[in-house]
Amino acid sequence: MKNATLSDHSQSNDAFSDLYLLSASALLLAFALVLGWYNLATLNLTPPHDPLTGLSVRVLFWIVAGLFLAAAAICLVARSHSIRILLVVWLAANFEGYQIGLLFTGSHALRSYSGSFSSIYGLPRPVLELLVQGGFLYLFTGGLWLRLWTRFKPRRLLNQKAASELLKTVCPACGGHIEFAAQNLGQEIPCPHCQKTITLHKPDLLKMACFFCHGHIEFPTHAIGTKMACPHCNMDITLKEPA
Amino acid sequence: METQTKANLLSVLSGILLAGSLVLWSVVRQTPHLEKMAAELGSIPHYLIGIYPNHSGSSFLYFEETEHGLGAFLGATATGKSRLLYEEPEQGYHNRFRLLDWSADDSVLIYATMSNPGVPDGAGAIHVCNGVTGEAVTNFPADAYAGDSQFAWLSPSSFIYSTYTHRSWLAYAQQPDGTWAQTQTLKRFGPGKLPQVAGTSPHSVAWLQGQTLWTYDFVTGEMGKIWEATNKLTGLSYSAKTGNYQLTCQDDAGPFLVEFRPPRLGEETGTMVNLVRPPPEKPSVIVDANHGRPMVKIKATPGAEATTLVWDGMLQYYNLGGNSLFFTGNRSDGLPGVWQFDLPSQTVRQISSARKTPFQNAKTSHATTGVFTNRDGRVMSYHLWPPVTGGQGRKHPIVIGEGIDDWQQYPELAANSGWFYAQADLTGWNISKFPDDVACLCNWLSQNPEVDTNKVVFIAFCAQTVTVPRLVQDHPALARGLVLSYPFGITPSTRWNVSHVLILGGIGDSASPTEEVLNMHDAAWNAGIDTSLLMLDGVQHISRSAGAEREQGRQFARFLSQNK
Repeated sequence: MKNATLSDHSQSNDAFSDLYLLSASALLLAFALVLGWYNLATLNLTPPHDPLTGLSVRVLFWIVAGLFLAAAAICLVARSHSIRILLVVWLAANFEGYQIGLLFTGSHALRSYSGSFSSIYGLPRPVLELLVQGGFLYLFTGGLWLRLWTRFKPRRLLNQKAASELLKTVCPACGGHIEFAAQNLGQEIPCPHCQKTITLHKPDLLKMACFFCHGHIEFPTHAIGTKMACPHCNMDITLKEPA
Repeated sequence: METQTKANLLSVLSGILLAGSLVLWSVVRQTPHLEKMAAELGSIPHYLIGIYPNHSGSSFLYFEETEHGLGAFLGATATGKSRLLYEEPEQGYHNRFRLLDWSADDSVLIYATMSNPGVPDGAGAIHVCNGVTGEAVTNFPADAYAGDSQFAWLSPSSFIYSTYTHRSWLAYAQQPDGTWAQTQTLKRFGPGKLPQVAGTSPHSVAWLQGQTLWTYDFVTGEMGKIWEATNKLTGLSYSAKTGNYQLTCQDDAGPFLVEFRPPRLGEETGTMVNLVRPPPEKPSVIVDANHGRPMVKIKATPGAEATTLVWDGMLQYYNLGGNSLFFTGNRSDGLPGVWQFDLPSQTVRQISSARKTPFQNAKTSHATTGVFTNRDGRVMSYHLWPPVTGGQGRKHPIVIGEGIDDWQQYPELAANSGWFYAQADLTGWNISKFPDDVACLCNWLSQNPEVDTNKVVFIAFCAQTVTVPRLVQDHPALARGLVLSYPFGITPSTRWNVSHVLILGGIGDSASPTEEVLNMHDAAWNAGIDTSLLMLDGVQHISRSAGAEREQGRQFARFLSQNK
């Protein structure tokens, strides 16, 4: 059955998360592709060993590119905002931790990495470093900020969040699913599916099966006794309280 | 399409666009024809080992890189056409081919392939082929592992050849029907290797052993000392025409030549029939480096006046054949080839070129020759290849190194990539002077307004690389990058004030072991130096195949292009 959402401006926090996750996906995908191309462009050369992991740089880059790709995909399809954000923050933290690790071991490999990427991609080393460091800083601090904001934001905003939570109801006329913000409860609106004017009620839904096709139908309590066409088989039925 | 799906798609597209634009930029910024240019120049085969004309100078044997290794070719002087006699995969300095000799009338060419149990078809053999066309006539198995196996003609149609550690000698002869056959296997008749051996009849040889002259007859098995000198014996030849020996001797007064008639039937000793002091001069070719313009002095016949050839270019291998000097090399504005200097007319003619078709993408740079003074006050010559586009009144980066007088692809690759390339000549070379020599050359070239000595890449080959740490530490302001070809014995550190290094090496190189080169690479990477390492499979301490040269050249050109 089709769904329709009646959004509202109070969902700014989720919008920030969405924006962050979308941009994180884009960045991670870009980083993965850049690493992959680097590996392909240097295919005839023997890669050095990464001083911290001891892995061949080519192997390391394939692993990291794979991780980034997976993370980008998870950011796009997973349901939980918090898990997605935590994943991105974890990845970015690993990058920052890697740099600190190199610093502690006295290795200057970061210069080699940036120099090598600079050679391959033809960007000046400072620009390249700015892009990479800036990107990871954004991923790390942005995600961290979102997580902390969700956890510690003021109660006023929590109420607002509560008010902005989405409720679900069903159009009594056509049976189409409708999502709406809690604060819009009681408002009369044209149904986004059939355009008939309906009142947004709390989603106190009853369930029954169509007499003819046994299709699953959900409807609000106040619609008991209403005659309508079954949304599945289009036969005329009367909505009845389930036995 | 739902809003979420649209947003996801937009995100994916943004990521691809972001990375794609970077990738596109990396591709676009490369000189469009860089790869093709590098492939053209890298495919030019090098001449190796030497050039060996036959007695009359109508044909010559030369060695040239093939796609996968080393080839021995027989070239025709008149037409320049050549025939591949033998090819083997590259093995660094090692090769199995040994030229034994041409017959006196040049109709037969005989060569050997040394045994190498480590490779397929590695059995040793003697090959008899047509001395004019190179067409194979026959070959015989003959175990010889070292290149010093000895050969001597017994007659115009028979010869002997010593095999493994000279324990036995094999005799071969042409049969009445024209075919060749092995006629005898002989046990060692002298003490190991015989430094001087000459055939004296179809079934006997003579050789020098210390201060004595010995003979051995294969048929009768008779062996005997026929002469004992009171001085040092250094050379032996036998004249079938007179039946006498020519013995080169040396005493306190200097060298002299003795003509010795062997004992005849009934005689106990032979007779010294003539003594010439000093001995007549032999044909000779002397090359003077002449500050980058080789001067060749040739004496083809004893007692004749020397003929001089001044060659504006590089001269690599040379040998006399007939009335000509045959040599490999190149003019200063051209590619390598085989050349003939005709002594009577004193004219030079190119017989063949290493590049058979004109370039489509590369151009040749016209090298100039100059001199500079090194720190010790010694005047050294150098070659300078300008960018093929010309200086155009602006500064260009430069590659500086020290090289030998043979054609290399690196100067041309640099010139085609918009770089200058300067090479100090190795004449009177002292390895420990390498850093100072190239630094002095760099200082000298800073006077050239088109040379940017702030953008210098040093190139070092083999043993030169050992001195590179001193070069970059003693002259920290000079080098921006390094190209190290077959390096060994160095550990890059943060004290190296260079940002880019290209290392060219080979898997299988015993002089620069793979493990050592990999550690060197890791050390450079750890020191913050952007290092590229090309390790070619099967390549030993020196690359000897066009395929390997091409890949090395490609990486060199990319390195210069990326770090311009």
